[in-house]
Amino acid sequence: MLLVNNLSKYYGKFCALKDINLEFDNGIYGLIAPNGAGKTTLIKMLTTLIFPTKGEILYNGTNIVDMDDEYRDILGYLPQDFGYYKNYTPTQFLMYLSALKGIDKNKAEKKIKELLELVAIDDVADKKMKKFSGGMIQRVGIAQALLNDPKILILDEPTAGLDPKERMRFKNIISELSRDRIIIISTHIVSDIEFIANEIVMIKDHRILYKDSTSNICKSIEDKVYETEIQFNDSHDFKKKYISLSERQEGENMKIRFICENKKEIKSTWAKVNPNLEDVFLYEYNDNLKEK
Amino acid sequence: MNIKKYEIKKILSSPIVIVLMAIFIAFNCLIISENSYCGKELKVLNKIVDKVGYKIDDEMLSNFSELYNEKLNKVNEISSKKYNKTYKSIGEFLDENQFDMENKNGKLSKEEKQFIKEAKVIESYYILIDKFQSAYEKIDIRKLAEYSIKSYNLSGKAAETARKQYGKFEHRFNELKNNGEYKNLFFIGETYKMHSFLFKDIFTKIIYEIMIIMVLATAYIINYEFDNKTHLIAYSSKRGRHLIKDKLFAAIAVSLIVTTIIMGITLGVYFIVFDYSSLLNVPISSCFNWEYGEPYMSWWNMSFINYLFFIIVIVYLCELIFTMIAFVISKSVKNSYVVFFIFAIILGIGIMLPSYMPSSSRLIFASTFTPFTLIFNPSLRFMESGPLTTFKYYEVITIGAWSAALVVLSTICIKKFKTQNID
Amino acid sequence: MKVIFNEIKKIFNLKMVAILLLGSLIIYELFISFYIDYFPNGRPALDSYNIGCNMIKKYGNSMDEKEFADFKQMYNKKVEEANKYLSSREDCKKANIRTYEDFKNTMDSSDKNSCEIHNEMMNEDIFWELQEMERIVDHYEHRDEIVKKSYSNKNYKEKVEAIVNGEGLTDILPEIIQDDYNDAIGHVAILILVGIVFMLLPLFLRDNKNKVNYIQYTSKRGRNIFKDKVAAGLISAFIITTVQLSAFFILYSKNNVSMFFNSNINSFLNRHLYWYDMTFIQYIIMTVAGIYVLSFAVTLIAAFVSSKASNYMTAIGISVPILFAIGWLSDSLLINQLEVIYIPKMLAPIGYIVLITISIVLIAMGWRKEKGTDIL
Repeated sequence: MLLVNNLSKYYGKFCALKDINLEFDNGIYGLIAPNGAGKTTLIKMLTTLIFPTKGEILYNGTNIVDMDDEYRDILGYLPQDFGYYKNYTPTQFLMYLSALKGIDKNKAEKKIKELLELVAIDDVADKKMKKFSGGMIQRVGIAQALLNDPKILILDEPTAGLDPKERMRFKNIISELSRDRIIIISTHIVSDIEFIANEIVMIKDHRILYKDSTSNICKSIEDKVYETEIQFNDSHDFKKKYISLSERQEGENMKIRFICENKKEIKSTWAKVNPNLEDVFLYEYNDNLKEK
Repeated sequence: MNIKKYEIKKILSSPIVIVLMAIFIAFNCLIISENSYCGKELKVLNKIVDKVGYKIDDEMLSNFSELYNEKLNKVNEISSKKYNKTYKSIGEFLDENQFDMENKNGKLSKEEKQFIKEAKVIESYYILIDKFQSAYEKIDIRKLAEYSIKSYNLSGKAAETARKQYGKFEHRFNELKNNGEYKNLFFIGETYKMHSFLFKDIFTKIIYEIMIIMVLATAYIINYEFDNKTHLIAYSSKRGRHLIKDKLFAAIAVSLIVTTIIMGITLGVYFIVFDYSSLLNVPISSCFNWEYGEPYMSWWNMSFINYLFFIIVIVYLCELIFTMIAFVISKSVKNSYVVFFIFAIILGIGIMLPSYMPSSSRLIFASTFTPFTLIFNPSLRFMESGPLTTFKYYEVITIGAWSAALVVLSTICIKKFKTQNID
Repeated sequence: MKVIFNEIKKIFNLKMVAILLLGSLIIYELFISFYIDYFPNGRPALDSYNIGCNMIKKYGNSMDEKEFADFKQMYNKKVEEANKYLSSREDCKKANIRTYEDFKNTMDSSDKNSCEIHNEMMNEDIFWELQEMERIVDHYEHRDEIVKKSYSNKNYKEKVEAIVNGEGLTDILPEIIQDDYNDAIGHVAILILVGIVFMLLPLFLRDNKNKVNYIQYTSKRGRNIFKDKVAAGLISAFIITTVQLSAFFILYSKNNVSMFFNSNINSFLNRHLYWYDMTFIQYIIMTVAGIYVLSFAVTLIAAFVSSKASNYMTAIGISVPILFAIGWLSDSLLINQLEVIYIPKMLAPIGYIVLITISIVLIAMGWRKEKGTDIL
């Protein structure tokens, strides 16, 4: 069990995260936050790349900083933006990383073969990575994170650069793995984790906003999400009043999904719909969504 | 071990390291070949030593005189045949018959010329024994001390210390004189300057070449993960920030490898070109090893081969020190480009330091106990080497103190890196 | 133009300029200050300089036979002075040194008394001056023979002939002045080249490493930015060279040799002869021009290396031997001994042309490659 205790991180006077308390058990956690909310700061602290100004992170009761290599031994991490050695093949690169991860050479060779098959780049296992596409590099990154069969797997934007087919494959891999480990996935693409995550963590203004299951989070805006058709000409005024969640053209009119917080304003032409995670996301981070 | 191997491979598989080594070795060979013209003459001494030994004593002198007279007689034989004349010395013969010696169409055959040239070299050694020995006995260390103190403008406490050191050296000099260490044959320093050619020209080049490669390679390997943006993966792996230790180890290992290759090949070529085979055990303080103002006088009774060995050890240790300095700089400035230039600046400051010290204070000595002064004159290591560095344990103290300081500094860097935020 | 200006700003960022300044200061202290702080270096260099100055004051830049007669008279007067001085000293009498003639004859004597006197007289200006004046007289009287004898090689026989028959030979330019300048400017050249390489190696490498090149190459200016960067490099090199040279010449002015500026470098007092009959100031201008050419060539080479190298170690590693080679060339041909007579006349121009050609070909190749290459 991974426990985040009163965690704060300051860069000088700037506060990146404040008083974070979290608890992770085996399962998949989706970490959702807009840019600059402190998501990457949290992940870097979970991976011991940066250190808390205040508070601590405990794994089974021990501070992960004190655990040192013991902790990193059970950690798998895919950074959002990571480099690779251009003149290495995926096999060579992974061999090097397995040395860093303290994996026995023979074991590593086997494992690397397995993983490259799993992420479907075994056909280029011995080609230099110089000319790989972004998606291929991303898959090398995923394989790398899984090398040591980690108990804690932290993936920062793992589906970036993957095509829909690969996304699907990735989701299956993750679901498969989640039974006996903690998986934390940070992403902007809400749909990627909506259905596979056991819990969603949302960060707002450097603090935790929600940490709950998708359905519970969605309940927070139950009865507030509606859909209706309006004329294009009216859309400007309409959007001034309500938070628009999505719009799409339908013949002459515009179909709009929006939030209405005042029950008295509800009109009969509006259809109430079930909120999804994206709605919550847009609602919570709506600062600029209402037209001025 | 595995990780260390990977890190070493990263450096050595970089073509520029190989290319630089090749260029430097080629350059060294060029310098050696430019000076190889005296190689033939140097061989003659080996022949002499093979016949009469290098230790100058009565028995040797009588053998040598026999050898010399034999050569002289032969030269006179040739001379009486061709010129109807005999000479008291070979030098005299050469003075008179210079033209025939230098011209193809003269009266002398090629073999005869070769023989005469060789005989002349033998004569030089024979004649110079006396000259050097008596000159050696006239050396006055106190006078030397005063002279060098004056030429460095030392005064006050500094002059006092220098005098004291020379006083200590005087003991050693007397020992050197009494045990006859100086009474040995060696290449004539005055003419060939082999000691400074090998230990100053060649070794200084070797030292700086390896230094250039090692500073570059160290900066490269230490910042490798950051430069390739693999730092997030590498430093969050199990090995994590301990990786930096592997990198330091790799830099040190490469420094040993590069030093071995460059120095090994250069010295190999040197000793193929210049024949030292019979002279390896000649004491380095031989009175023949006298190039400039005063002869090379070592603090210890060392043979040539001992001396060479210790200089080689010094090179290894200094390169390790430079590698560690580069490590500390690389860890302190993130930008791997400027590491090389900051090192160069530190080197420059190190070299200049003594000249900025007050010449009356003992600080001036402290300022010379740096690896930069140490490598400035490799030919004077373990020797009387001017008023600032004539300390018996100068080399040991300098290398010991700097190694210790750098171990501490490196440890601090590694410790600091452990708790540094990696962005 | 704006792009170029921005590139120049990137080249001269504060950290790099600070390191350049500090580095220059150290190189200056180690290798260059000597030629200014210690000029003229000891004796008889000091006398050579002083007498040379006086001659210029009296005779102008050139000394004709009439003026030489005057000089000789001055010399004779000095000898008399010396005679008087020597005969007035008791110890000299004891050693049987009564006249300057005696003094000269006992120069190499092993006699203890005269040795001591010679040592002591080293403190008297007059004997140093006499020695130098004698040299001048000797060189002037026998200037033709001396020149012909020391430059007997047939490669430059014609030029020597022309010098002997020309007017420049009677000009006054003591060798210490030109030697000092040559040595100093040679080191300055190397300092400038090292500084340029240091400042310009990141020119392309920095952006390539940060992958800014993706944005640059897809902008409107596109790959033409390569040319902008090269232009920025050349302008920066010009700035660096100009600043360094100005700094040097301000310091060099302390040497106070401007009175010799209009003397022909093929002077009877100079050690070397040159292919061109130019004045000392013209020679200085020629070396300065040479330094500019060298620094532009090195700029292009550094820019090429920067655009090709994949990391800083490689970039510096390649530059080190290149700098050594160019430094050696400048020391032995292009700056230090520019147009010295024993080096074939055309060798230096050819050297410059080859260097320029190589650098232009390299950068042109770099540009053509860059235009069509895949940016990975």
